[in-house]
Amino acid sequence: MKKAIDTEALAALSRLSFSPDELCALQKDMESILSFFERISKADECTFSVENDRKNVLRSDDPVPFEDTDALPGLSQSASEDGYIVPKAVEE
Amino acid sequence: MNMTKKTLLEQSKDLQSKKYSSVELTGAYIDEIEKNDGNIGAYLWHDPEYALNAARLADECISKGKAHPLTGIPFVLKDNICTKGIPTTAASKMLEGFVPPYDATVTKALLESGTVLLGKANMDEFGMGSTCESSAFKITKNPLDTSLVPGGSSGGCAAALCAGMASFALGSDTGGSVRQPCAFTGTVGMKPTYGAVSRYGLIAFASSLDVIGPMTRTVSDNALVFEAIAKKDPLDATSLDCKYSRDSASQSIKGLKIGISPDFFCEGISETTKKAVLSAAKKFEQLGAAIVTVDLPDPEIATCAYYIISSAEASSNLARYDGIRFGRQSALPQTSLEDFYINNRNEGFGTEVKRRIMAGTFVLSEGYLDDYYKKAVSVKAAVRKGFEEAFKICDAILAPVTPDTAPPLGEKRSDPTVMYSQDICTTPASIAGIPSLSLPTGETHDRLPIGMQLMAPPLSESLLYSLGIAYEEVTK
Repeated sequence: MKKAIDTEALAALSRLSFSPDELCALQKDMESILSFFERISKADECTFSVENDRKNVLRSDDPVPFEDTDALPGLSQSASEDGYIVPKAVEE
Repeated sequence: MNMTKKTLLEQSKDLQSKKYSSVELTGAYIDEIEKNDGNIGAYLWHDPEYALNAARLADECISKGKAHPLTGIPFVLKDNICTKGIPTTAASKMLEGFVPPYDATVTKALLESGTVLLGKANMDEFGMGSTCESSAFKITKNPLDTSLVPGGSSGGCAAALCAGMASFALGSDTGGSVRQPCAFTGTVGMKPTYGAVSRYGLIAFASSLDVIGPMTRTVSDNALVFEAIAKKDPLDATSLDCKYSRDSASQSIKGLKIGISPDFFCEGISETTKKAVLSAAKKFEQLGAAIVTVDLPDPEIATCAYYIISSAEASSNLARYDGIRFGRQSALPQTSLEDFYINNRNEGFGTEVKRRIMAGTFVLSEGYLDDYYKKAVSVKAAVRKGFEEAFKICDAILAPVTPDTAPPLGEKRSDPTVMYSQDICTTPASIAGIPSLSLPTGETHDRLPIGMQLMAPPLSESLLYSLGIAYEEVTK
């Protein structure tokens, strides 16, 4: 992705104008916002993709979300053969 | 017991049985507003005489036996919801002095039910913010501790409820603007399914995400207000055929499966918040629900997609405010039409709104559209799909509303992205368009409320209310 931001041109496109001091502060803000937006590129990684038929379970190497999971029977987990952790079956 | 401290349902019962009148109840709220709002700053517009006149009409309806359960109940509207003949500014100088010639569909529905409008509540300008500090007119403080923010953008509504200055409120939620202030003030907020409540008359921020939602002190009260506003509206093309009855909110929660995702308990979520939500999970289990773990799309990416999409839509929606078609006009001498537009917009918009417009213009501009906006739209579809997959193995998902409790006033203003990151728990439901109910789940040692949210498939508000009511009953 391109990282350059021409704040003055962007202001003109947005029908806004700023003093030199304001532009300077805005440049910093816009760069920070752009860095934040660039996290969207992480969506390319397989960790984000949601595939059909994907097992909807915790992976064994995922961090446990909190302590005391054993206290919740539904969260007591056991590793399956394929390396995934399967939530305990819930009694209907 | 002070009548302003009672729940909406208790007040409704008292009004119907003529224990006290709507004029007395409204008068009590007016007293609270006059006593406290100078310090809290929840209201942007408040007219005691207007409210008392509405209360008199409500009392007449009640005496004739024509009352709706909401008749005579005093409430507050967020200032981006249009009210005929009453100023509606979205807390922006751009709309200062704007008096809509029509009511929003939700305003009309509530007023036709005989409710009493106490006033219009402060908010972040055009809904852009999470602290209620970006209002062009005043800062709202958290009534639980006035050194803290009340949250945003519906912070004025939440503060009014928390301080006993209204019985209920209507806010709007684009990325968490109903749920987050409710979490910071110990109140209850529903972000309905996108399209379940008409947006006609809501001043647009990001049209594909904006939803109007009720804010109350209890879950049962919330269900009553939602029943009054959730219906199909021919004036809103995105409106869904939603017929909600609060009778359906009393189903048993035994056997329901509640999902917990580790993605919502990531680094940055405070230990106190994690423990409070875990404690709620245990409570649900004691009530007969089962807890299962689910895998969801990364909320950090969802938050990023939310900010890209909402900025793009804000940039487009706010282009209409040029001082000619909409918005205020600058008094500066006109040199050219373009300068006139620029001066009007420069004077009308605040800093955060300008930042979002610029960011939106950037992600929509040639050369960046594919990298940012189109990518964010595809992420939005993936997030929705991720929730669909999760709801195949659970009925609802439990998560925190915010990483931590309410921050001090001014703390998050220096870097805008620090504030954006705080929306990590609320934006996924917004992006997916699913309903989410925010309710209190305990307090910190400093007695600050902690919020949890329950999310469910589209149009499953009844299920969320059933879970919320069951939880509320055992934790009173």
